[in-house]
Amino acid sequence: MHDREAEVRAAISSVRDPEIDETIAALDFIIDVRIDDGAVEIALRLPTFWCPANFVYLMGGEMRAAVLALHWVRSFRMQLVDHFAADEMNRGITEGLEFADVFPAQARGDLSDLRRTFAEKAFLMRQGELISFMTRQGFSGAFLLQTRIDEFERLADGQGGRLRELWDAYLEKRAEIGLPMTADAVALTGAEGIAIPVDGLTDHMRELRKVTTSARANGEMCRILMASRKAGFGCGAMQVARDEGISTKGNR
Amino acid sequence: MYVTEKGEKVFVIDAHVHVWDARPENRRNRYGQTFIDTFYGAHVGLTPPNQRWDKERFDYYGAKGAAKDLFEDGYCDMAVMLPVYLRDFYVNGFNTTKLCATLKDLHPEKVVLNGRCDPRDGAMGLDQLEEDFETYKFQGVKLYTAEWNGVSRGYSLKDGFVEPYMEKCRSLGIRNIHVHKGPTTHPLDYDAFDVRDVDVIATNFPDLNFIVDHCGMPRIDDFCFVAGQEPNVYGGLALIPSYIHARPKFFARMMSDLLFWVGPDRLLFGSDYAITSPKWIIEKFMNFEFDDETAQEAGTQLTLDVKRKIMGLNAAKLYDIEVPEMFQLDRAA
Repeated sequence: MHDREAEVRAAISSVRDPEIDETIAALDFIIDVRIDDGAVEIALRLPTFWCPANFVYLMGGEMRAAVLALHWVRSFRMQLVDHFAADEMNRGITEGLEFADVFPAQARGDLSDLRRTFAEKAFLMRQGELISFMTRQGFSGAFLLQTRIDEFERLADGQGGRLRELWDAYLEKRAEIGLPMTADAVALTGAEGIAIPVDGLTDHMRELRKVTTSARANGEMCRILMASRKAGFGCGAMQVARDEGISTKGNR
Repeated sequence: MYVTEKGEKVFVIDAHVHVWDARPENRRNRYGQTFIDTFYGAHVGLTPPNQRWDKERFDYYGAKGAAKDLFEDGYCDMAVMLPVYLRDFYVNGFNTTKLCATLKDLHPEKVVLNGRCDPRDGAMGLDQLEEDFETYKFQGVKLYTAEWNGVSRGYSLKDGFVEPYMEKCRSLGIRNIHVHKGPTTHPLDYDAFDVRDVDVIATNFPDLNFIVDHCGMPRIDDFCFVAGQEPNVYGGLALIPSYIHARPKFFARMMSDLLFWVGPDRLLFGSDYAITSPKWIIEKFMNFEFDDETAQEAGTQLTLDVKRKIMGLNAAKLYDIEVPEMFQLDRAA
């Protein structure tokens, strides 16, 4: 059984908070994983009672898909605790409903636009990290902005390590937002696929920096609030967890 | 007034303060509790340990408490009050104009009292705005687009019912429109903290000033874009300076981006009192400098003149406050 818990945790380890592009593991959102034969229940708690329902719904949906992809899993249940829309979201994610069906009065359309916005921002942030890393290694702006995907691949193969990680992470988002993945495509472009002027790296990096600063600062706010919540300040989370019979083991 | 080590005097306007009542007897429901609990979580996380309050004082500190924290201990020459009602959560409202007025009663010459309105209230709300204006004669109003109001969980400034309120403000002579765009606390699929709706309304009402409180955080990038295009859009910094103790590096990065994209003339200091208090923030901010790389990114160092503008001179312009000569920018510079 313990192996299965590890399997579940591994399966959801790559699920990310869509707004700040960090894993839910790094953000410490998961408070319990319960397995009863093929039934998996994941309990999670967010930094505040008020975290936006739409963002949570994106994460919940991804967790559900990742867990149900395990061959032995028959059912998935989300147990979000101490959140203003916990009941609706737990039901919706558990039953695999669309967001608009769960919140018919408030939701306007589905979440695809939001998912797209976040994916584009994550794409730009990952590109920024890749460029910073390579610039520090001495690659010129003109080189970086003209290099093709296959040439980047060869560089990543040759160097491995951090470059490989950054390049793979970048490519993953590039594919997600639907930019060309062919070997001869210019690798580093804007989120709409438009080439960056060869002498325009400084301006481009300013744009990337803006997106990154914003997301990272928000990530820090999540950590600050999460830490306060764990320390017992903010929304009485521990008490609620106990009242609702949810184990908080795994909490540091 | 803050006096630097060299004896330079800086005029301080805290452009974002509240007097709220979140005591248990005023909470309408669990939302009222969790709302103030979340604020308290931020207070604890951001405030240096030796300056933290206990929860009881945080629930309610009253006008006298605020006067001490702002004007006696907190270096503030003046404070701008921004009411937020949250009647769906609090029986008598959270931070009402009436409650804010109790601080103005104590220090009429130091307090800029603003009103508030909720454009979803339609014709009735317009009458209320006029009535409040008659009573308080404010120069600005606060709009809280993520506030719950009955079945509504938020609205956008692009919504058609907002414009009559802007027309009303214009006709009454209310020039400063504060819009709360801060960390996401509620929205559903549409995003009540989305900043881009400010763009439309700022274009349509070029004679009004739009102060985006919290600079759209965490959408500072979107805010920078909007403010870059619209000369009548200002950044209310509240919350950003609060990072200065717990996350100084992120504070520096946010400030440098804002200075580069928006510039030093359209940013207003705010402590977000009472989530955090001005005393320790101002002490740290006045001593804060960018490293060379950050200054280069920002396009400026945090010079005394830049600080003078942010700490008070910019807000003074918006609110027609006369600032004595000794606080003005260094003429030699």
